[in-house]
Amino acid sequence: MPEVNIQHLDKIYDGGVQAVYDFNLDIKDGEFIVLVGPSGCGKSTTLRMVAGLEDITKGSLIIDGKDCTKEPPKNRDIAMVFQNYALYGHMTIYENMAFSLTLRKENKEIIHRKVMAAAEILDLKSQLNKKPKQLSGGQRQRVAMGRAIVRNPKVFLFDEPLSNLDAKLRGSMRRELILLHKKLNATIMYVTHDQTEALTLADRIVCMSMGHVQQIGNPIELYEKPANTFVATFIGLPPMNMFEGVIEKGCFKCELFDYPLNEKQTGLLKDYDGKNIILGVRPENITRAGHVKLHITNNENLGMNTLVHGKIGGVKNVVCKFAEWCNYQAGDEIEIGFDPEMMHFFELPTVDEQGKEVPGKAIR
Amino acid sequence: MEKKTPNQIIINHDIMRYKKNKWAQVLAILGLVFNCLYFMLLYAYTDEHFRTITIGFSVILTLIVLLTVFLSSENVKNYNKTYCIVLFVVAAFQILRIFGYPLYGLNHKILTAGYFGFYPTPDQSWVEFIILLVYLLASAACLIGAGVIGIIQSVRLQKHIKKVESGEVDITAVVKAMEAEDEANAVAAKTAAEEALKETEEKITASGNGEV
Repeated sequence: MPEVNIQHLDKIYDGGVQAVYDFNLDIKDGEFIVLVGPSGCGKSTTLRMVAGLEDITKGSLIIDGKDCTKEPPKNRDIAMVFQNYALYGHMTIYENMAFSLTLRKENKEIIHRKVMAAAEILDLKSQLNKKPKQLSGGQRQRVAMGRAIVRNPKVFLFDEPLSNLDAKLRGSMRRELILLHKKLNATIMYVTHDQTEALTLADRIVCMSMGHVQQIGNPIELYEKPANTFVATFIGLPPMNMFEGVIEKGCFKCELFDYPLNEKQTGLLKDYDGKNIILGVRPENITRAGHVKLHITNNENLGMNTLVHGKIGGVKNVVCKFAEWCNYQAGDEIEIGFDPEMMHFFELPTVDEQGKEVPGKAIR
Repeated sequence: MEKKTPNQIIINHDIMRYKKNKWAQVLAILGLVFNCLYFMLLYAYTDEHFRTITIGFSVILTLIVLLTVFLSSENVKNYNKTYCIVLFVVAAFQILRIFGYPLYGLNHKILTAGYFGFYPTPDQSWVEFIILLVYLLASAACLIGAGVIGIIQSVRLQKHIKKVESGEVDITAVVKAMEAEDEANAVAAKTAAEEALKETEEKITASGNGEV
C-alpha cells in the first residue's frame, strides 16, 4: 500500500481560478518526492492541500490507508517545514523543537528524549539553549526540520526550505537533507523551483506547469527523456536549445540550417515527414564537429567547462557547453554539430480550448 | 507512584539544562505579590507617626525589597545559587518587619484603615495586625520556598553537568538505551497480548469441543 495516494486532485479558488488540475500521484513508503516548477505552477498549493492548509476542491487524498481529504491538518499526522522557518523568536531552540509535543501534553521525559534525539541527528545539541536570532539561516532551517522530526510524522512536507539560504549553505543543506532522509527513511514531499535541488534530492520528480503535471519520473528520466518541450527547457542548466523546423527526406530543415538525420531518427520521424516539429539539443550535447555555423557572442570559462553563447544565422541564440577550456572571442565563428544519440524531437505546442498553450509532446 | 529508573533520573536532571526553574521563580514572584498586598494596606494608615520621615524609609525599603526579589526571581530561574541566599535574607527581613510598624500599630491601637468596607475601631487593631502578619509571613514563606527549591535544583544541575562534562553520563547513550528499553517493552507487551489471545481462543475451542 502506498504511504500517500493522491487521486484527481483539483484546486479551484473562490474566484473561480483553478490552481491545480487533476493531480495524481502514488508516493511509496520512504520515497523522496520533489515537486518542481516555475512560480505559480501550483506546486505549493498541492503541498498545502496535502498538509490540509488548503481545502481540496475535488479528488481524494489517502495517507497510509486513511482518507484524509476532509481531515483537519492535526489529524493527518504530517509535519511541514516552511521557507521562512516559522520559529518562535521568544523561545529557545529546545522550546521551539519541543513546542508541538508540549501542546499535545506529552510527558516531559518523552519530549526531552525526542528533542535530544532530533538535536543529535541535526547536530544542534550545542545550540539548544540559544534563541533563533542567535543562529545562522542554515541552523534555523535545521531547527525547523528538528521540530518536524520530533513529531515522528508519517509524511514530511517541505515548502522551499532552502530558498532563504545562500548558494554555499544551500549546497551543504542539500547534502544534509539527503543524509537525513537516509537516516529517517521518511516519506518526504518537497517543493522547490530550483532544478538542482530537484535533481539531487529526489527519488522521483513531479514537474508542474500552469497547474498541470507535465511529467513524473526519476531525475535521469526527466533529464534524458523529457516528456514535452516544457520539461525539456525547464530541467537542465543552461536550458535545452530548441529549433523549429520541418522534416523533409531524412533531413531536419529550419530557416537557419539543414541537419541530416540518421536512420534511427528517420525511422522515428517517418510519420512527421513534411510536418513542422521541434528539435531540442542540450548545450552539453553540442559538438565542435559539424556544419552548422555559430557566430560566437560570449565565452564563459567556468573552470571545469566552458559556456559558449552564440547565434546561428545571426538570429537564433544558442548555448554550447564544452568540457574543455575555450578561449573564443566575440565575433569568432565555429562549426557545430549535435550528438545524434542525444537529439530530442517534439511536436509543436498547441493551444487548448481555454486558450492555454500546451507544450509539444516528445516524439519517441 | 512508580519508582524512577536511573535513566529516567538522568533524563529528569538533563531537562534542567534546557528548562528554567519555573517553580522557584513563581514562588519568588508570589512572595513579591504578598509584599505588595502588605504595603498597600500599610500605606493606608494615616496616623501621625507614619506621616513623618518614617514613611520615606518605609517606601525605600519596600522598593528595595521589590527590586531585589524581582532580580532574584530572574536569577533563581536560571539556577543561580547566590540569589537563593539573597531570597533567604529578604525572607528574614520580611519576618523582622513584623516587629516594626505592624507591632507598633497594634500596641498603639492605630491600625484602623478602611479595608474592603471594613472600618475597625482602635480596639479592633488586632484584625489588621493579623492581616499584615499573614502577608509578611506568606511573603517570607514563599521566598524561603523559592530559595530552597532554587538551591536543591541548582545543586542537582551542577552535579549533572559535571557528570556530563566528565563523560560519566552520556545523554545520547541514555536516550538510545531508553528507546531500546521502550521497544523491548512494546514487543513484550505485544507478545503477552498475543499469548493471552491465543490462550483464550484455545479455551473457547476446547469448550466448543466439550472438553471443559
